[in-house]
Amino acid sequence: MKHPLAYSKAYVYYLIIWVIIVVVHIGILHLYYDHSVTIAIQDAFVFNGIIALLGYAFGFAFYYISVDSESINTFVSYLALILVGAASAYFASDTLLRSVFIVDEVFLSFINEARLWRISASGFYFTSILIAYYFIQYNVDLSERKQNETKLETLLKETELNALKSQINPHFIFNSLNSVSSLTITSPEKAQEMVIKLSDFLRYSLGNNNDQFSSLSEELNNISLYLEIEKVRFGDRLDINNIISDAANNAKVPTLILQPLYENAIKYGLYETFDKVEIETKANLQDKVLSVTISNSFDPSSVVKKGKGIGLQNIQERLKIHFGSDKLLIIKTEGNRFIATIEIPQEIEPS
Amino acid sequence: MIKALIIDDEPLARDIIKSYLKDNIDLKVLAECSNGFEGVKAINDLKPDLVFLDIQMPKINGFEMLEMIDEPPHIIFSTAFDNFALKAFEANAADYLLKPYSKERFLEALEKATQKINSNAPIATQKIIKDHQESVEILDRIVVRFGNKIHIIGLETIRYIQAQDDYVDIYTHEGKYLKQITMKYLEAHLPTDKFVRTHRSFIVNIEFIDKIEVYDKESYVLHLKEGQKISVSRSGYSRLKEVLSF
Repeated sequence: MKHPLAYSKAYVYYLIIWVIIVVVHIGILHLYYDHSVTIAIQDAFVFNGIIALLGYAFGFAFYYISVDSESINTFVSYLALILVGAASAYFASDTLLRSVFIVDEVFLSFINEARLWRISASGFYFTSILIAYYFIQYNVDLSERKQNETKLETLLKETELNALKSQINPHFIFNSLNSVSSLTITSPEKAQEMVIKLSDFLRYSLGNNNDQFSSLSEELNNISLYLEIEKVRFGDRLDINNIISDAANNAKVPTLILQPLYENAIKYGLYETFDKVEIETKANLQDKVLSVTISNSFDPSSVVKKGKGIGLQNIQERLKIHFGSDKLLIIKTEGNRFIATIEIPQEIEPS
Repeated sequence: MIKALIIDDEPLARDIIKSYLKDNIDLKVLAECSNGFEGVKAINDLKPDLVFLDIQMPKINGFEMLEMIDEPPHIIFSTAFDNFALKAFEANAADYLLKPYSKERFLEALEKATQKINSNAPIATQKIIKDHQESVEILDRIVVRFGNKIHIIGLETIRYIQAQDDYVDIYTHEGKYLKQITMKYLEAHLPTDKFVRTHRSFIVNIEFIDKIEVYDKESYVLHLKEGQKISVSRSGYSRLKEVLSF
C-alpha cells in the first residue's frame, strides 16, 4: 500500500501548501504582532515543520485505519490521531522554542499566550490533512475498483470468445454437422434433435447473458448439451455421471468457468482413446463454499500434444479477481484419471 | 468389382458413406474400421483397392496410419478441417472430401478414383504422405511398426537416433525402433531446442546428455547418462554449443 501522498505526486502540493503557510505565519508574527523577523522565522519553521512531519507520518498509519472505513472505530481513530497530533505538536514546538532558541521577554509571553492558539491551529491542520488523505484514498480505491471491473469484463469476454472458438472449432462444428447430415438419411428425428442441441449450445455462449454469474444448474445444463452432442458423435464410448446436491445446484458460479474443463476432458480423454471414457461431475456446498470436481478417464498410452493451458489460466485468473485467491483450482492426475477441482466461495457478494 | 474399406472413428460418419454407396453394384465394402490400428491390419489383410480414410482419429491419425503400410492403396481422404492435409492434397491433385459433403460431391470423387483403379494408374498415396510430412512443422510423436504392433513414441522418451542406410534406429528406454525416414527430415522436424544433430549419423536428445569429451583434434565424444557413447563432429560440436550455451 502506498502513502496517500505518493499518488500522482501529491507530496509536491503538500510541500507547496506548507511553504505558503510558513510564509503567512511569518508575515502575521512580524507584521501584526511586531516580532523580529528572526523570531518569526524560528517560530514558523519549528511549529509548522513539526506538524508537516507528523502529518506526513500519519499517512503511513492511514492505510491501516481506513481498511474498515465504514465503522465507528475509524472515526474514533481519526479523532485520536488529531488529538495526539495536536498535543504533540504543541509540546514539541513549545519545548523546542524555549530550549533551543534564545527568545526575548516579549516573545516568551507570546509563547505562553499562544498555547490555545497553537493547539487549535494544529488541530485544524491535522483535521485538514486527514480529510485530504481520506479523499485521496477514496479516489484511489474507486479507480482500482473500476480497473478490476474492467479486467473482469475483459476476462469474461475472453472466456466467451474461447468458448465460441471451441464451438466454432472446425473439428467440433463440421464433425457435428456431418453427424447431422448422416442422421438425416438414417434417422431424421435424431437429426432434428441434434440440430436443436447444437443451436441451444451455441446460443448460451453467444453472449445472450452478460451476467458475470450464473447458477450451477444453468451452467451444467449448457455443458450437458455439449456432452450430448459428443455422445451422438461417439455413441456408447462416452459415459456421463453427475452427482450434484440440491444446494449446489442453486449456487452461483462465474459464467462459463467450467466449460474449458469439459473441453479438455473431451479433447484429451475421448478424442484420444479407443475405449470408453467416463466424465464424472460431483458438486456440493459446504461451509458456504461450492466445490465442483470434474474427473475423466484417459488413455495413458496416447502420446498427445499438450495444449498451452490458456483455458486453465483463464479460469485461474477469473477466480483470482473474483475471490482474491489463486488456490481455488486444483488439478491432478491419479492413475489414469484426470481430476480438476474448483472451489467457489458463496458468501462474497458477486461483484 | 472394387474392394473398399471405410476407416473413421465416428459411426455416423461411416454410416453416411455406406448409405451413399448403397446402390453401387461395382463396389463392395469389405470392412469398417474405427481407428488407425484396425485400419493397418485390415489394409494388410484384405488388400483393398480403395480406402475412405478420415484424418483425425485417436492415437494415430490417418497419415500416421498410412506410414505403417508398405504399399498403400488409392485413398479418398475425408476431413472436417486440416490445413496441412489440404496442402498435401492440393499439391497432388488428390481427391478429398470436406465434412459434411453432399452425395454428388462424394460420387464425383468416387468416379475419379474408380477410373484410376480401372486404368491401373500409379498410386499417388506415397507422395501425399511425403508432402504431408514436409508440411508438418514440428513433430510431437513418432509412430513406428514393431513386428505386428504399432508403437507411438513420445519425443521425451527418445534418447538418441542413429542412421541406418535408408532407415533410422530410434533408441528409447524400451529399446530400439526402426523407422523409414531420413536424418535430414528428422533434423528439420524435431524441436531444435531439444534435439541436436551431433554427427552425420546421430541425433541426440539433450535431456540425456551426461558429458562431452575431446576425442582428438577434430572430433569429440558425447556420453549419455546411461553410458552410451555418441560421435560428435566439429559442426555437431558447435551446434551443441549453441543449444546448450556453453
